[in-house]
Amino acid sequence: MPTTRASGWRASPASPSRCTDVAAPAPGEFRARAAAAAADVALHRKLDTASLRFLDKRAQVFAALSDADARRDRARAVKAHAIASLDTLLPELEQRFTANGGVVHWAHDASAACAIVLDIAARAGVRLVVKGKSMVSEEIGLNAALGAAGIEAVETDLGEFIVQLAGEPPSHIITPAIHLSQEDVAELFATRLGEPRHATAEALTAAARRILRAKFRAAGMGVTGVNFASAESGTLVVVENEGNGRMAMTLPRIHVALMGIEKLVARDEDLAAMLELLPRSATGQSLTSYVSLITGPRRTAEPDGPDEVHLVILDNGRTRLLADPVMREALYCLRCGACLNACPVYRRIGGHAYGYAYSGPIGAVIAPALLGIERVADLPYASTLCGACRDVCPVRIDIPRLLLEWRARIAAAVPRPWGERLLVRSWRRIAASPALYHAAAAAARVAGAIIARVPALVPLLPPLAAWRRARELPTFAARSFHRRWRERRGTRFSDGA
Amino acid sequence: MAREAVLDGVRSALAGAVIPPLPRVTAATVATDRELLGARFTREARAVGTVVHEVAGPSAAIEVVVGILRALPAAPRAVAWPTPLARTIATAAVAAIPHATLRIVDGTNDAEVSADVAAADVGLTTADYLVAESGTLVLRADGRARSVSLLPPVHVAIVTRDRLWADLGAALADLRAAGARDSCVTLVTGPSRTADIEKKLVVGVHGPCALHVVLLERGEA
Repeated sequence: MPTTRASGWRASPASPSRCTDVAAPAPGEFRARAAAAAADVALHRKLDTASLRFLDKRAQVFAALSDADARRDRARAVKAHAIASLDTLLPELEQRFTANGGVVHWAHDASAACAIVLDIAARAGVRLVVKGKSMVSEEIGLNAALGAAGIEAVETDLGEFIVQLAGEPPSHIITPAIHLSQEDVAELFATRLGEPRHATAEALTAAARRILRAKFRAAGMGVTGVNFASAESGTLVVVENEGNGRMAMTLPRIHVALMGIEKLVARDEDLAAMLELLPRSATGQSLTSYVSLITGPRRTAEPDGPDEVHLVILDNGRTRLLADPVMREALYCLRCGACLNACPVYRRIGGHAYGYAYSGPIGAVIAPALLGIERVADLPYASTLCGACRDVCPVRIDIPRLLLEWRARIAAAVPRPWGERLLVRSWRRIAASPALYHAAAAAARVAGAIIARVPALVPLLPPLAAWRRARELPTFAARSFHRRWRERRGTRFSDGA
Repeated sequence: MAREAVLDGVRSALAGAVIPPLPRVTAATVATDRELLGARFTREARAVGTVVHEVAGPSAAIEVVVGILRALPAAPRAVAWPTPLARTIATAAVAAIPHATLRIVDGTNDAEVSADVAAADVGLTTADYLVAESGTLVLRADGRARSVSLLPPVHVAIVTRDRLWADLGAALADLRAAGARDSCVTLVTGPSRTADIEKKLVVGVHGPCALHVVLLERGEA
């Protein structure tokens, strides 16, 4: 089936089919959610605490890493090669993984991926599924699909377990419960699990360990994501700190790994290059507590491990990014979450406001391709373009450039309001002519002075009123910089002028 | 059919795309100075909460393991890999503790493996590689139960210094060169941990709460 090219955002009014619509935002909701979050001071405190700590630790480990910049260049080159070679690497991975005894499934979209997992579960009579942390599983809405089929799906990463209890989606790629306080979690454990009101993070964690240990041992299937896969040997890499991923890949009889097509690298050697950067960028660790390199089901000489290992390879809109030479580099993303932590907008509105599994700067780039830009047309504007995301990205994705590109495409496809167009056209004229510029600046000074003296005028000027809602109107200086410059020329700066 | 739909999509998306060259593989670092590597491993491992015991040989290693068993609840239940060093030292150490039990997990009887390991207070293993740069243990699955290093609250890895390698790339390259066909290779760097509640570090979420590495100068007495 030929793919529609991604150049126009008209391509996909109904194409990104989903198991559920839980995480699919409706147009216009972003602004309301963002406005509510931007007013939530307690949320800002939680986001700042976590994000800034991540960033701080990240900076420390990168400072201690020799040749950090060269390693980032190499990781980017590894991904650039792999993404441009997916047409040969995907069949190679399939061939190796199958030769190792695994089963490969292909899913064009979210509902196909869910159907594959449901089918595997149904054939084996699975009633309980334990899940390692997987953003792809959030993306495709797997929990809802399993629930609808009467299969219990339990999130086992502590953060994911917490947000599942709260009935919420995760609000950060790496630390899903970033928006909840310890008291919030204690309250959840008390009301949803009947636990006493635990007073420490240690006690809450111990309770989760006890409750989930029983689930791991009873589950018929473990579902995880995949951080990297090597085509050369058919190896899947799963990175984690808690051990829940290892449990889900070791104890149940069936392991299902969900992977977007972009997770591939060509060679086994490339895995170490990627592992150097992912934990450092994500949590500021040299390496996470656990990294599992999986090549298939247990061999005869192995005392434990799953009898069946399934790999579900998912497109779900990724080929639209792939077909787009400008946007293609978004597929290099390792999902480390560093751009979320670095983003001043994310730190004020949190992950839920974006309304999609992938939030923050990288989410604002990939959601328009995965969901269709008409559903998330506000997201590319949720950025100050300050460039902090680009600076921390381990594979140097130029996120601000990609956000600008989305904005240009949106403006080209849907004309902006006439007032805005008039404003931009006028600005183009004014900025190109010194005389017009000085005249306009003088007029703005007068208007500014009037508005400053008569604030009641603001609501009568709609664009200004909207701008003013979250900002102070600056007072213009009595004399412009140009004028002061002219006046001083004769005195202090005469030599250089 | 689904396969062709995805692959056709990928092929048409990449039509005319230029493939950038693969970066050259950096030469594997050859481990030469084991003293330096050992010091680096110990430093990195301790930094992530691993307890490193540096000992001369097996008899000192047994003493260390006896000490670890004594700190457990009375009559501790141990499980161990069947690899020679793990078996020998576990057997000797358990014999020194009243009412302690040991199960060497070498069979493939699922029910027994899972029940014994799940009930154990401590799991004893060896490690196939130690990575100095990150303080990491590399554990193969060939003939060794993965769950021994995962389910018990305490994991003890008994390793000789000749397993030390400089970095992960070198260790994994050697593993490939050895033709390893394990279904799972696990890298362990410190005990299980989380910071999912208000970024507070808590050790011992799902995996072991404590990780000991007994680092032997030599494996023979």
